[in-house]
Amino acid sequence: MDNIITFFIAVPFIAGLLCLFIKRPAFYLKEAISLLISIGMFVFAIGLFGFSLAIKTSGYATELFWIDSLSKFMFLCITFFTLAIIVYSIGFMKKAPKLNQFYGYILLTMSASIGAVFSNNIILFIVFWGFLAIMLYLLIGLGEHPDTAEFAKKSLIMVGGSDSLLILGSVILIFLSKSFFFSEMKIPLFSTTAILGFFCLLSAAFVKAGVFPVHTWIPDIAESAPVPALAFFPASLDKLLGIYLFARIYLDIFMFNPDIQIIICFFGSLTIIIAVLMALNQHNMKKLLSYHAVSQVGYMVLGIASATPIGIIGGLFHMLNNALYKTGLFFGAGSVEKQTKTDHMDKLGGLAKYMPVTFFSFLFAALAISGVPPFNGFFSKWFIYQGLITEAKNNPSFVLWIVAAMFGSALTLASFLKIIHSVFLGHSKQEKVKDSSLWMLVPMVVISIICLLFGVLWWIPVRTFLLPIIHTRLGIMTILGGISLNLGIMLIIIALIIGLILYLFMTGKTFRKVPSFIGGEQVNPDMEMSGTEFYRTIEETDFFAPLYRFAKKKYFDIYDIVKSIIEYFGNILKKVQSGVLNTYITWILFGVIVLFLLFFGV
Amino acid sequence: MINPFVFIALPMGMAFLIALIGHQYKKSPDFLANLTMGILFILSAICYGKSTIYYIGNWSPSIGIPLVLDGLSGLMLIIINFIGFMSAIFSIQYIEKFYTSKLRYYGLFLLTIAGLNGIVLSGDIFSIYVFLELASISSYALVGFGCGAEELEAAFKYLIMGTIASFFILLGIALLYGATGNLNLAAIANVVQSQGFSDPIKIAFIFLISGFFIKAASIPFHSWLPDAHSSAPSSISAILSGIVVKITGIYCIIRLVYNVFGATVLISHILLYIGLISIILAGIMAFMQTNIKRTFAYSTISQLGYVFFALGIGTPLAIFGAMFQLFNHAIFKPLLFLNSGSVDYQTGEKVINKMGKLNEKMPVTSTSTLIGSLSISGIPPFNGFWSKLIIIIAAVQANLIGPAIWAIIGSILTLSYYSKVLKCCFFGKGAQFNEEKWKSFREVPGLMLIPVITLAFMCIIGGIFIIHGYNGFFGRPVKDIINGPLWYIQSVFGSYK
Repeated sequence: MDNIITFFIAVPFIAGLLCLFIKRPAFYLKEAISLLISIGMFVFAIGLFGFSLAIKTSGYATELFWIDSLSKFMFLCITFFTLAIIVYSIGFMKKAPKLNQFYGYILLTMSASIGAVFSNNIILFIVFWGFLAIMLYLLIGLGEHPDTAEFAKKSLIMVGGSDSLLILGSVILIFLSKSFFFSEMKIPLFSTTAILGFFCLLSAAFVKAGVFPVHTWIPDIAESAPVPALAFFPASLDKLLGIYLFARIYLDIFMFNPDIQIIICFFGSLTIIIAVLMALNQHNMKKLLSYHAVSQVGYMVLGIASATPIGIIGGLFHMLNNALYKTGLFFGAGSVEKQTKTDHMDKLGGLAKYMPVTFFSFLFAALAISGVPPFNGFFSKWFIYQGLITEAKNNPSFVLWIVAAMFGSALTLASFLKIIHSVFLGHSKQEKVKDSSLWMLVPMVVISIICLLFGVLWWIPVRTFLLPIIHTRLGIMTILGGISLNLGIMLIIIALIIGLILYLFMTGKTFRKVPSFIGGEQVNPDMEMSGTEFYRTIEETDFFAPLYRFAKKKYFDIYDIVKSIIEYFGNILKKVQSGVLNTYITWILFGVIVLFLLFFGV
Repeated sequence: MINPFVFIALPMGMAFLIALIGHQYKKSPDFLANLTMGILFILSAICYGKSTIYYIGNWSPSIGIPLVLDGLSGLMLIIINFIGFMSAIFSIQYIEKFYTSKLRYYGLFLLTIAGLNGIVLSGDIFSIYVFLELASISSYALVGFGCGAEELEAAFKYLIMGTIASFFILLGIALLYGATGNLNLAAIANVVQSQGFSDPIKIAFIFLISGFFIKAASIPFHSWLPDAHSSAPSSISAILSGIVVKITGIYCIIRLVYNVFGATVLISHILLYIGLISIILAGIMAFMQTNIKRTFAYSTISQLGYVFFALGIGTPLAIFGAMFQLFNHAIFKPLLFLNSGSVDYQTGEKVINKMGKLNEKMPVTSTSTLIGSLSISGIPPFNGFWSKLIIIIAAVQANLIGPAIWAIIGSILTLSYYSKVLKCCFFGKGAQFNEEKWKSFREVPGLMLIPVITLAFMCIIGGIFIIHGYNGFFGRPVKDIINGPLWYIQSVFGSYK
């Protein structure tokens, strides 16, 4: 099995290197290579999924790599999203000469991610994981915003710094388990050393996935990085990998500890609330989406942290769903940006008329993320709630987390109303724009259809992808019997139908339709209220106003906090390093005296 | 078998030859110096892994000067002559642009190399001192080579501090001679091992180690280094940070502590904590700098802190990590300094705020700086990652988890100040970026790129040296260190016939 996985890693790697060395005139060659490789890998992934599942469902270990149902599932996801992004980029990158190296980086990233999910040897895992940080840095650096370099630096420091913690955590793992292989690790989570190791690994997973308080690089890069890179990293791949690592350490490597569970849930629900509150007052659509990319992670964390089978399924299903609709949303935003040359919601409006395909796929994805049935987001959230409720019987604190999750869900819907209203509805503020090219539309449409299908036919992905994962761990195959899904769906569908009936029958009779007017005058575009001003009231309430103000000054950003601490100590040290020779010699004498004291005095 | 004396005699002789004929034949200094360094590098590669002892003039062991080539000195020889070679190639065009007199430059350069080779080969503490002075005095002159105000001030400070270090070392040697009646390292080791750590020997040891700490620039003995390394011509900064600090400081400490006096618990703790203090404080200082070369200079202190840290842990794995880190640092720090030289060559700037967007104009320089920065920050899969990983594993295995956390914090600090340099110089732009000047920049000439590309390539493949562990590339030096004084005594006296 080692050989075939080496092949999976080597092929995109070599192709990626090749793409880096192809010069500008042969740009189409890069596109062809990356398209072919990604299609090939996707086919392989489907093949591997079907093939090995039939032969063996339990995980088994070889020297360096392992294949179990979780890593196979991850492999499939990685190849699918890479394919989608490459197809989309072919459309997006037309006439964007700076993005020359894009395909090479994407293929190298794909190779490293495949390596990371299949690694059984922990050192090998760190190598692949660290390589991803470099690729993230280079991909963000391709953006053309003036602040690109600053935010690329910030994400390199945060993600690369978390890699250092990952190294420490892994070394502690090796020390505690006396083994280099994930498959042989099972560590009780009670000693101080084990808890330290766990939190080191956890912080690496959380930085990657973007959990409060280490999420801050994601909203920052949203404005500056190129859209395909956004759709690739914060939206899909980093979520997949971060949650993968979290699931591995929380479920497989360490044993369960209820106190740790509460801490994780606390950060999970804080992530949901804080990120969604920040999303409400954004004026830039990519930034708004990126706050949602953070917020949704909270649900996955909560679901997996509940440690109930249904919750884990919900968490992983949400991970998949989130990657789908978030990629779709970023694709939509990119398509709007490409056609209108702006990503500020104040300057957009009424695009539904001109870009109907983009609008509908964006709408589908927005409904999915807001958890509206019958889209996929509803079902994964439903599972997560079920998991939380189940766990609440053992641990009363879970009631709090459920409330937080529901509150977040409502606010998510609210902020998507804002983005849809201000970008696609209302008066048009742009000259006539056309819908994007077919290369860009196809992946968007495919993804939004999958969003719908995974909702309507939710048991298919759950049975195919997720149950084997749970099965190998907990030995449970028939948990779905315990879910009272049908009643819930019934009620919701009934509610929707009643709403529809009321709308259809009431509007015609009781109201009359006229164009909007203010003070007897027809509304012209200048007078229209933009959607960006929605929810100003929340921002201005006594409770939230100072918080938003502090957030704007970056008081909550762990990166800036640490930076100012270092600068504080640095300024003290600068005074010592004064340039005066006498001071320097005093320091040397001080050192010698200390040495004397150590050898003779004490 | 190659006579080890050639490593000292060849560069020294060439230095004189260059001084003699350099005036008549303008191209001869370039040619002769590069030829010498090339030969020395090949010879050191041939010698690696072999061991021999040569008594200069065939005097008897008690009074003669022995040249001891063992695993540790073999490794050091490779590092010295390889980095010297790279820097010499770089100097050909770099020195031409900014500085005058090539024959003086290469003369001093070769004398430094001769001194360093002498230090690692000497088996006699007084000749170590002599060679140390040879290397130091030539490097004082090289630091002030530009003759600007800043350079001269730095050279003066370097001279004063270096002289204090030499004074301490000489005092230590005198006390040691008084206490043991010997100058031969193995003979001293013999006396120390049989008599134990008496008070005079302790005092001698403190003076010796303080002197070498100054040379190795560990905090709080470090203060000369940032000035000296940032004011020197960049090719010389590469030599200073890449090898001079390591040989005159760390190598001598390793030799004394592990092969002569023996590592006691106290000494190990001193090394461990001096290493940690250097990692953190120098890291913070590097973070505060705005001059590209000063950042790199502070980073040298911080990164060599890892070597001391690992030496202080003292397990075989840690020593392995220390050797690996020392070797890796000798790869990426010269790479970074040479690149700062390339940037200086094109832009004439050293302040990072005034630079920007060089990745569009100087792709090779910026890519290799990226590689060097990622390696030094310990990002996989580059070489710096492997050495740091080994050091952290060794620390955790020795149950030093607290210090390991600090070492990790140091690593994050390293990443942050290197990404600042990358952002301001190469991928973004500084606050006072000058667009007009920027348009005329080009990549530096090919001869300056050869060493840079070679070193960057070594950063990428450097991880392979980990293969075979103790039986591999670093096996011999690690064995020489961990086998301790008795082994050293035996290997020096046992093989004399």
